[in-house]
Amino acid sequence: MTVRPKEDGRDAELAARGDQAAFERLYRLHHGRVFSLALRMAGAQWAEDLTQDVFIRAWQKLGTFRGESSFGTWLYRLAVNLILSRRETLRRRAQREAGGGEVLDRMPSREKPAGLALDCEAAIQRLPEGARQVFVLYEIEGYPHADIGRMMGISSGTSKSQLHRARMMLRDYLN
Amino acid sequence: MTHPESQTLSDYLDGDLSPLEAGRLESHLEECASCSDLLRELSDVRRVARTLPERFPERDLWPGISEAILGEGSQHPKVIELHPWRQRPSEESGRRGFRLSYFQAAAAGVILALFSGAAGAFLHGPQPTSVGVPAAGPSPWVELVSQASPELGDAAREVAQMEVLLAQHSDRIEEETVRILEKNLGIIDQAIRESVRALQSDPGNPFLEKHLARSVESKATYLREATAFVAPVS
Amino acid sequence: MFELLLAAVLMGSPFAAKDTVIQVREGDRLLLRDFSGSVEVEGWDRDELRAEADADEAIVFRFTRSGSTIEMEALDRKNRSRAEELRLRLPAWMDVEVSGPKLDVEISRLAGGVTVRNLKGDIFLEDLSGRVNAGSVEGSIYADGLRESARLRTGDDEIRVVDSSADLDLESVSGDIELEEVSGRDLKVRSTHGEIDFMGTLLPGGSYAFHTHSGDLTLFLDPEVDADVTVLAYEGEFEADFPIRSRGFRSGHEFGFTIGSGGAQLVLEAFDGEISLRRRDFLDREGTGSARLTVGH
Repeated sequence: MTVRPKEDGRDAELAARGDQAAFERLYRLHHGRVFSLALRMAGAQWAEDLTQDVFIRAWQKLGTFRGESSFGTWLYRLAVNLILSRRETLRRRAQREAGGGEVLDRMPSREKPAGLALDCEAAIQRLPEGARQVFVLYEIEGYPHADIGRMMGISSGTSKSQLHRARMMLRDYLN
Repeated sequence: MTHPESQTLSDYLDGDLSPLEAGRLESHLEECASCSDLLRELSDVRRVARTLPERFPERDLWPGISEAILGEGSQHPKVIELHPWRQRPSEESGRRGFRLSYFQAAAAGVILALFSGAAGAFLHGPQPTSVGVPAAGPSPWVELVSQASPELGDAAREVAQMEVLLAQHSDRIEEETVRILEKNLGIIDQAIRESVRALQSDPGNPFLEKHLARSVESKATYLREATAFVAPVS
Repeated sequence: MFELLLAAVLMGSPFAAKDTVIQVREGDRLLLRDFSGSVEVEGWDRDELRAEADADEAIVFRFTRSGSTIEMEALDRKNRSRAEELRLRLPAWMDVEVSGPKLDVEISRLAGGVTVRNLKGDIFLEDLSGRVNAGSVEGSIYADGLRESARLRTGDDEIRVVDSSADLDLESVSGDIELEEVSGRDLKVRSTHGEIDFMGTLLPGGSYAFHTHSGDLTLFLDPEVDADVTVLAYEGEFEADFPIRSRGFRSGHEFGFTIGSGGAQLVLEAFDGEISLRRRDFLDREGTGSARLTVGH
């Protein structure tokens, strides 16, 4: 995992005052994690657009970043909320797109992971939407069920059972 | 103990069982190979997921982001919440960044033509022209709309005139604004194009006729906003 | 025909100072044309107009009267129009018209008519009980507390109206339109490609028309709402959280139904966007079991 230095906070302050160079540094530092999140949550065909939208939204909302958490924490939460808020729209657009097909065929990746990791990435993409999103948020992003419940508008219990469902399905895929 | 629900294994993995429940499960696991196997597999899934490497996009996304947030210089865009005035210190101007949604851009295609070359070309795709290039001769755009819905002829001609006016005076407008004008006129052109195509396959459909009329009117309204500044009517 | 205002004449020059108060008469209208910078206009209960500007160098205001119209200019020593941060206090009854290519405008607490037009810059409107007409080529428009009527247009950025009982006529090209807690009797909302979100009240006998070409259209309504709904869609989907008692298809792309006992006339039109009628009380719930209808051609 990339080390995210404390200069983050200073760059966030500079960016909040309109310094685009500082904002670009923040982008360079965090775009991988945001892209990974978008890729896993929403699928390959939306990941780039979502990543761009997350950073554009972050620029617009930098004024609300108070430095109480790290910039990364703030950014990822913003990213999760934006991606979740697009769920319905993306679902519809995917349905409308002719030949929506298998997402994996079009998965862009500069550094394709090898072996088990690739299998796991591919398997995550095949999970049903709700289970996939809970799995990514809990297992990869590390959010507790209570937070996931709030973000997704479901109960903690539902979050737990979706997580378990995802694990069971992934176990089948991976074996 | 009978085999526990598989959910219990997940809960155990996540430390969500009470000490009593955990103890009971552990005793069962000592005796039950199938439950132990399942627990190990679930644990493997968790381990693999937690060590997944970060992924990166194939292309550099920064230029697109940079373009979208451009033009505000050091005046950082102000976040507008539900009640902007109540949350805003009174000294601030409340300026907000230009925002281009990439979903919108993707759905609309690239920046579309303001002036079409020929009716067929207009109908079938964008032309790489710009506000700076005035149209020559009668616009094929007008013919196309008039053919699809004859009563729209006058409105289409007015729109075409405003397009020429705007093209002639576009040097009075900032480049960024010209770009946004082109983008939005392109989006309306796309809507008109789609409506015309739909009408061609379903002539006389009243909904489509109304919809086309509304799209042409939208273009006229937007052009009026813009031309009011480049060539004010006294 | 033209008459320089009293305040300026008393100073022995055609110019008023940087911080200026002039008397105005009931029925007067203020005009600021080709103004660049930011303008804040606020109504007050005095029959006078007060103008202040923040500027590094000497700026003078010139007021020119023509009939009931008072045109105001901010000029530097060489008589050039200057981009300024300008603050105006006006009698609340006064009509005001402000325009300029690059202009941020904030107008509040007026009962007179308000007209604003710019190419770029944001427009804020608050607590206005007269007629409002605002248009921007690329800026956003935010309005809170409109009470008579408003026609708002933008190309690119957002239009957002909250807590307003005015009749509304709103249009965008690619900008989103958001309405929250609006309760006008006559609403016309159009977007070519922006998303339209409505959360508000439909009054019995009111008329509510929403049109989009390729944006999505979502209405959040009270569960007890009474409305006669007409849906016109060429492609895309229609979804509703409400039980649909259909009045039947009138043509291939048009159908109608009634929610509750009917009353408000609601027209929802989309060429290719998605139309959703949501219950407000379902907002935080997942899986509402909504009725879904795919419209094709």
